[in-house]
Parts: sequence; C-alpha cells; structure tokens
Amino acid sequence: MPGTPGRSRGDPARNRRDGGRSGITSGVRRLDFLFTVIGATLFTLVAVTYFRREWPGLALVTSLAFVVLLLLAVLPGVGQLVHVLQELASRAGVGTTYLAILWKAIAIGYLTAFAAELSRDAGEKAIASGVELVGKVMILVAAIPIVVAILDRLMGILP
Amino acid sequence: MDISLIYRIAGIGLLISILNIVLKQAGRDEQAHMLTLAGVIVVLIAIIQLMSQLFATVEQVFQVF
Repeated sequence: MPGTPGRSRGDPARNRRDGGRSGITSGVRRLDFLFTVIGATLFTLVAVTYFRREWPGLALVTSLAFVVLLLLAVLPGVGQLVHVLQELASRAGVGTTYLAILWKAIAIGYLTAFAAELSRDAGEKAIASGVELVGKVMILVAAIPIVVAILDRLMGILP
Repeated sequence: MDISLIYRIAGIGLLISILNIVLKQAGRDEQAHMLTLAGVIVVLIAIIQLMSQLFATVEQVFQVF
C-alpha cells in the first residue's frame, strides 16, 4: 500500500520526491514529524541560549527563523483542517462569506501573535502591543460585515 | 520540515563568534563590530525569502486574497 506510514518512514528520498503540499501534509500526520520538531527545537534552544549571551541580535534572528520554519511545516495540516471545516459548513448550509471572514481573522491572529511574541521575546513590549493593536483593529474591520448582518437581523426582528 | 537553515545559521553564528574573538584579541574592535553586523544581515537576507513564503502560504491556506 503506497503512502502508509510504515512504508514511507525512513525513506526520505521518496518523501522528497512526492514533495509539495501532499508530502508535507502526510509529514504532519506521521509521528516522525513530531520527533523532527522536538529535535530541532532542542537544537535551536541550545544555539539560541548560547547566542543570547554572546550576541543577542543573532539569537533573535535564529528564533525568528525557527518559528517561521515551524509555521511553514505545520501550515499544510492547518490547511487540511480548514478544508474539512469548510466542507462541514457547506454541508450544514452556512454561508461561505462569513466563514471566509473567520479564516481571515484566524490568519491575522496567528501572524500578529507570531510577531508580537517575537518582539516580546526581545524585550520590546511596546512594539509587541503595537502589533497586537493593529491585529485587533484589522480583525474588527474584517468582521464589520458580520456586525452589520447581526444588526440587520435585529432590526428585522424588532417591530 | 527542512531544518538545514537552522544549522546554517548556527554555523554562521559560531564562525563569526570565533572570528570576533580573534579580531578583538588582535585589537581590531571596529572590524569585529562590522563583522557581527554583517553576520546578522546575511542571516536576515536568508530569512526574508522564507518569510515571504510563509505569508504566501498563510494567504493560500486561509484563502485570504
């Protein structure tokens, strides 16, 4: 059976060959992925703790690179989740416009949290709260259609 | 997950730390300073491409256009 976890484990050439999205997605599913993440985390931890003492700028850049790599590796799994939820919503008859707003809000939240935590890590709380404020405002602006729809319904219900 | 970038950054960091110590011992503090700056910039350039890829993937995954 092609694509079973037992078969593809320990065969990196094959995983690289099918490449692209499906390869990474199956990577998120396998337990090897977790082992890779934990190993890379420990390695990065050692490197960052060394750099932070010697050279704080590089420590920040290293943790930034690591977090970006992690997010890139795990995003295809998130994409699968989004796909399944969208299918469920279309089966339940929920409008896709509101769901799109939800995805946008989640994406904004993830990205701003990523930037804010990194700047908090570097000890810059003001920058972190600034980025978070931008994220909050952007989410609220993106959610305006939902608010308008709720108010419209409310006005329809009220006599 | 491709962690060769992390290895590369750690290698650059170690190399430049060692060069930094050598330069400081030789009394060339200015060049040591420039070297650390150049190291950070090199690593940042390597990361910028990755970050644009991350943003593109986020847009694609959450279908935000």
